[in-house]
Amino acid sequence: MASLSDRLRRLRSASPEPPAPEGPPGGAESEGSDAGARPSLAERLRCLDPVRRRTPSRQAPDESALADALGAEIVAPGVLRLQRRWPLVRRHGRCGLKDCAAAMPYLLAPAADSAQGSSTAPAATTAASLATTSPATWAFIDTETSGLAGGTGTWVFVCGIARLCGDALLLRQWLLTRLDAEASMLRLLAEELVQTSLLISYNGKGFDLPLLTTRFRLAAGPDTPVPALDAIAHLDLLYPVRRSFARCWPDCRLSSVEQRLLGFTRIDDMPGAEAPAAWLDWLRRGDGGRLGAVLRHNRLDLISLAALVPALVRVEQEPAAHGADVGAIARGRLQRGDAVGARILLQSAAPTLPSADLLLLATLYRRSGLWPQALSLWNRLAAADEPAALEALAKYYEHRQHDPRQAMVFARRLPAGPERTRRCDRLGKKVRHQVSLPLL
Amino acid sequence: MTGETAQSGREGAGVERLLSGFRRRYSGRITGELAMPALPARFAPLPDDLHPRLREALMARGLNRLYSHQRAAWDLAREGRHLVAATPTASGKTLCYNLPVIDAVLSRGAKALYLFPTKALAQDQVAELTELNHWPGAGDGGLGIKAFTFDGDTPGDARKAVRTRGDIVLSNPDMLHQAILPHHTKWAQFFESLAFIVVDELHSYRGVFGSHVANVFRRLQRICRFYGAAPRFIFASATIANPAELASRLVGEPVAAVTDSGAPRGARHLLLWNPPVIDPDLGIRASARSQTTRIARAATKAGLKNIVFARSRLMVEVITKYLKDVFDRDPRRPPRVLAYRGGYLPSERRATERALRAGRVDCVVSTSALELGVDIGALDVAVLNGYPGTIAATWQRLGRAGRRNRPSLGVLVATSDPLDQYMVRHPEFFLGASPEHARIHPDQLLILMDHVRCAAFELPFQDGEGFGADCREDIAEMLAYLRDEGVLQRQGGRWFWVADSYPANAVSLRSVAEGNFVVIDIGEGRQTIIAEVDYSSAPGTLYEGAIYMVQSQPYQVERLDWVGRKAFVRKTRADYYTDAIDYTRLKILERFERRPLGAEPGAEAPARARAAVAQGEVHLVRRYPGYKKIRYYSHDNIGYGNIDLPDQEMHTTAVWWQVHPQALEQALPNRERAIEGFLGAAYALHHVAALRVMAEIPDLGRAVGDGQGSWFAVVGNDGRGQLRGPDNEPLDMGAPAADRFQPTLFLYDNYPGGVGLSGPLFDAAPELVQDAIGLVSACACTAGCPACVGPVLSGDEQPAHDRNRGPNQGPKAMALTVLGLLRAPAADRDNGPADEARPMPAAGGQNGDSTTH
Repeated sequence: MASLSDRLRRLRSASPEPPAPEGPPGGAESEGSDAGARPSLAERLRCLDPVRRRTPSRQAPDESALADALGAEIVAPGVLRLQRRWPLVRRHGRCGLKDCAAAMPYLLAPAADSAQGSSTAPAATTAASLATTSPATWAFIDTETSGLAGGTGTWVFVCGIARLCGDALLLRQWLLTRLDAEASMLRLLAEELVQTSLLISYNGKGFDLPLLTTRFRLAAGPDTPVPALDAIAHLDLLYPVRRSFARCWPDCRLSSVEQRLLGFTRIDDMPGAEAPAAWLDWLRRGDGGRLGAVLRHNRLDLISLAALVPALVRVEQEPAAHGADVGAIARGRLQRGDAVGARILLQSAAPTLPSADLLLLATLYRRSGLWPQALSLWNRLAAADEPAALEALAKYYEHRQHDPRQAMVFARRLPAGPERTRRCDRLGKKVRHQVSLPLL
Repeated sequence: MTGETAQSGREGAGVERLLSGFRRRYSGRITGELAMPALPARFAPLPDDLHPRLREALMARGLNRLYSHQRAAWDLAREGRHLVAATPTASGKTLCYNLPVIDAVLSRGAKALYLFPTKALAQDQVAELTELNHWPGAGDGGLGIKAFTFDGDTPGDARKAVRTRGDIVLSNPDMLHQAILPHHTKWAQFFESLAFIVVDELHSYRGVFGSHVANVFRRLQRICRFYGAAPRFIFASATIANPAELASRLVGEPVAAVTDSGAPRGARHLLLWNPPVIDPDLGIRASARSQTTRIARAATKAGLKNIVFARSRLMVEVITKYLKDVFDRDPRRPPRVLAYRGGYLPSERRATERALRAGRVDCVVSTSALELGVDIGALDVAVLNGYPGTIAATWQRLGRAGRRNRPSLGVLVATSDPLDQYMVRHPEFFLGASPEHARIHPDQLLILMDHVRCAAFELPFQDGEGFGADCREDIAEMLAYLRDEGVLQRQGGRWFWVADSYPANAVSLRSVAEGNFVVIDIGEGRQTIIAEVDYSSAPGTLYEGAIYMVQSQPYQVERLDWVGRKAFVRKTRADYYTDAIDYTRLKILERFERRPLGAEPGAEAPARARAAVAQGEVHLVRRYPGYKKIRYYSHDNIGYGNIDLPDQEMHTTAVWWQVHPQALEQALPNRERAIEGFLGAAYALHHVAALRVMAEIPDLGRAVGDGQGSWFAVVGNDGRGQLRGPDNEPLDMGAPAADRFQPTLFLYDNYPGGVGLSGPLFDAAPELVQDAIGLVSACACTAGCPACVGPVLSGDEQPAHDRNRGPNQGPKAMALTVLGLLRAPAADRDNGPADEARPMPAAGGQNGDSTTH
C-alpha cells in the first residue's frame, strides 16, 4: 500500500503513476503480493510537494531568551507576563486618561439598563453600585487571537488587562509561548479576573469574552468549574460608539475611533491581522521577532480603551462638536430620563436634523405643552408629506382644536391604507355630526 | 361514479373493485402481482417502570398498551444498548424513540439530540412532540418537555435558548457538523446531560453521505467523552436488508435491531405494470407517464385517495397538469390534485401536507420528497411512475398507501429504462428479494481526512488516540500529515490546531467535496445564486453553452469560472436542451483481488481460465470534448458545441472483467462484434450493478478499454462501436496488435477514492453477470434496445442488410455472447448465494437464453 501522502495526492488527481502491467488472465499470477511495506515517514515526506517539504524545525524555542527580548518575566512554564505603566497625564493623540475614572459612571448608566447590556447579569440596580466600586477593580481587556474563524480551534495567545492604579494605567499582558501551557495561563487569568467588578472592552461581548469562555471550557474538561465571565459586569464601548457614530462614519473599528475621535494615528503598528502569523513563527520556528510588535499593538488597544471613556462622555455632552449623531444621543438622554436635556440638544442642532429627529423634537415640545413650536415643526414636515407629521396634525386639529374639517385636510394626505381609511371615516362622521348640530 | 361507490371505497371494497377492473382490462400489462394478507396487531403491556406522568399521558390518549416492537425497543433502551427500529412505514416507529427519551427527560433531566436528514422532517417532529407534550393527562403545563429545532433558520438570538434550555434538540447532520461540534463549548451543558442521540431515516445515511455522517458521529462521540457523557443511539429505519449492520458502522459499536413489527397492517396488493409495446421491432412501449396518469385517474374516479411518485421534478409537473386537466377544471373549487416537490416554498409544502392530512385532496403527485416520513395521513393507492432505483425506496413509497388497516393498492409502472424493464420482467427479483444492503465506507481516505481535520479543530488529539472504534487508518500518520501541512502543532504529547481556518466549512457531507459550484443568474442586472452543483457533475452540466434547468425554467451557461467554482447563467427560451459528450479512459494501477472464470471446478491451472474478474485501483481520465443540442419532444439532434474544460482525473476503485484473447476469438466473429458485445454487456451490467449496491446509476461508471489506456471503445454517432486512441482519435479496429486486443469491461466507483462500491460488486460478480444475462435475454426487442444493451441503430433490426453480420450477430446477441464468457463456472453458481435472486425466464421472453437450470 502506498503512503498516505501519495494516496491523497493521487485521489486529488495529480499525475498518474506509470501503468502497472496487467497480464492476460491466463498468465501465471502471484496473488496478493502487491501490498508492500509502508515507506518511512521521511520517504513519504519526500514525496510531498516542495512547498510542504519545508519541514518545521523541531527544536524547542528558547523561552527565556524571548522573555529577555520582550522585557517580560516567565510566570509559569510557557507563560510570559509583561508589565508596563502608562502615566494618566500622558497624551494619547489629543487625549489624556486622567478623567477616565470620573467619566465612567456617566457611561455605565445607559450601558447597564438598556438592551445592549443583555449579557451582563447585573442589571440597572447594580449600575449605581458599580459606579461606586473602586476603579482599581475595573479591568480594560483585549486579546490577540490565532485567527478570526471562531469555534474551538481559535486560540487566545495574548490577553492584555489594564487597570487604573493611582496616577497611572497599569498594563499587564500574558503571552502563551507553549500550546500545552494554556491551562496555566488561563489559571493566572482567572485569578486576575476574580478581583474584577467591571470589564471594559471594544467588541468584547461579541468576540473576546466568548472566546475566553471557550478556552476556559476546553481547558477545564468535565466537571471542572469554568470561571463565570458572564457574571462580571461588562461595558463594551463598541455599543456607545456605534450609537453615536454609526450614521456618521464609514465604520466603527477601533482604528477609526482613534483617528476620528482621539486624534491618534498609529505609527509602525503591526496590523492585527498579522498577529496570528507572528505567533505561528514562534511556535513553528522559535522566531519570536514579531511578538514584541503584537504586544505593543495590544497595549495601544488598551490605552485607547481607557482614553475612549472620557472622550465618549465629551461626545455625549457636545455631540455636534464631535460630529456625532445628535438624534441618537438625544435618544440616549431620553432613555436616561433626561427629556429636557434631549430637547435642548435637538433644539440646538435643529437646522441640520433629519426629519425623524425633528419629529422627536416636536414630540418633546408637545409633551412639554410647547404647542406653537411643535406646530411649526409639524407644518414644516407636513409640507414634505411626512406621514407622521400629517398624522400629528390631524390629531392636533381633531382632539385639541375640535376641528374635524381641518383634521380631515391632513388625514386625506396620509398614505393609503387601513389606518388612513379608519381615520378619515371617523373624521367624516364627526364632520357630519357637526353639520347636523345646529339643527338640533 | 355513484355515491355508493365512493362509500364502499371508504370501506375498502373500492380498492378490490379497482384491482379487479385492472385485472380484467389490462391483464397483458400486469407482469407481476403480489398480495399480502392483513396482519393483526400484536401488543405488549406498557412498561412498569414508565414515568408516571408519561404513563398518564399515554393512557389518557387511549394508549394503554404498546405494539410489541415498541416494547422491544423500550426494553433494549432500558438495558443501555444502542438500537435500531426497522419496521414498515406507519408502524409507530417514533414512539420507539420518543418513549425512552421522554421518560429519561422526565425522570432524570436527561437531554436528547434528534437528527433528521432534512430540516422539514425535524420541524415535523417538533410539531409531533409539542402535540404529545399537551396530551390530556399530561397536566396543565403539559409534560413540560422543551423541544426545539436547531437549523440554519434558527435566529441568532434564539440559539442560546436552544442550547441551554432544550431538553430535545432537533437538527440535521450538516448542522451538527458545521455549527454544533466546532462550537461544542457553547453546548457544554447540553453535552454533559446528553443521554440519547436519535437518528431517524437511517436508510438515507448510505453512500457518500453515510460515510461522512459516520465520521461526524465519531467526532460527536469524541466530544461526548470530553464532557463525560456516553449517550446511546436510537435509530429508526425504513426496511433495508442490514439495518443493524449499517447502524453499527455509523456508530462503530454493536447495535441491536428491532425488526419484527407488531403493528397491524391492512391487506396490500401490488401490481407490476409494463406499458404495452407499440413498436415491437424497436422495442418501443407506450410511455409510463400515460399509464401512470390513467391509473391515477381511475383511482381518483373510484373515490380512492392516491399518491403518484415521479422521479423528476419536471415529471411531477407534467403529470399534475394532466390530472388537473381532468379533475380541476373549475378554478372556483378547491383543487383535488396537488403537486409536492422540493423547490416549493416551505409554507406551500406545509399547506399541502395539511390538506392531505385533512383528506381535502384526492391525489398528490410528488417526487421522493414525500418518501421520507412527512405525515400526510391515509391514502389508498400509490402509483410509482418508474422504478425508484432501489427496492427499499420502492417499499418506502408504496408504504404511503394503506396506513389505516384497510386494503391498499400499489402499482409500479415501468419506464423504458433497463432497470425498470428488468424489474417488471423479473417480478420474482423484486417481490422475492430482500431489500438492498445500504453500504458506507467511513474510512474512505478523503472523507476520513476531512473529518480528522475537523476533529483536531474541535479537540486536540492525544498521542495514541484513535478516531472511532473501527477506523483502520493510522491516525498518527494523518496527524503528522496535518502538521506538515501547517494546521497542527504537536506539543506535550498533544496535537493542537493552530491554523486560522474553520475546517468544517470546507467539508460538505453530501459529496466528496472538491468545492461545489454555484450557479449564478446574471439576468435582470444582478447576481442571484439559483443552484449548487457538486464538483463531479459540474463539468458535464455547467460547460459554457449548456442549458441548465431549475424548476423546468431553462438557463443558459454564459461563462464558467472553473477556478472560482462559479457558473454564470441567464434565462433562455431555447427550444432544446444539451447533453454533454464525454469519454473515459481507465488505466489499471493496482489489482487487489482476482478470480478466474470459466475454469472447471477444481481445475487450478490458470491457463484454462477463459476469463477473469478483478478489482483494484484505477486511474481515470474523463474528457468532455463537446455537447449535443437536442430539441424538446422530437429529441432531434439539432447541433453540436465545443466544451473547453480541463480533463477530469481521478483515482478510484473498480471491478473489471477480461476475456482471454483466444476465447474471445473463438466465441466472436470479429473485433467489431466483440466491441459491440462488450459495450452492450457493460450497459446491462452497469444497470444491474446499481441495483445490487443500492446506488444511483451516476454513482457508478462504466467503460470498455484495454486496461492500460492505450485504447478504449465508445458508441459512435452512427450507433456502432468504435475504438479511440488516448487522445480520442479514431483507431482502426485492426490497430491493436493481436496480443494487445484484450477488451476490459470496467464498472467503477464514480467518486474520487471510491466509496466502497467495487468490493461488493466483485463479491457479487457471478450474480451480476447472471442478472445481466437475464436482463438482456428477456428483453422483448429483437436486436437490442435502450432497455437492455443500450441504444442501437434501427438498421440493426434487419440483420440481412448488414453485409458484415450473420443472422444472430445483432448487438444483443453479441452482448449475450460476451456475458456468457464472463459467467462463472456452473459449480460456482450453483453453490453461490445468488441462487435465490437468480432471474427466471419472464413471461413472453421469446429469445430467452439458457439462463436457468
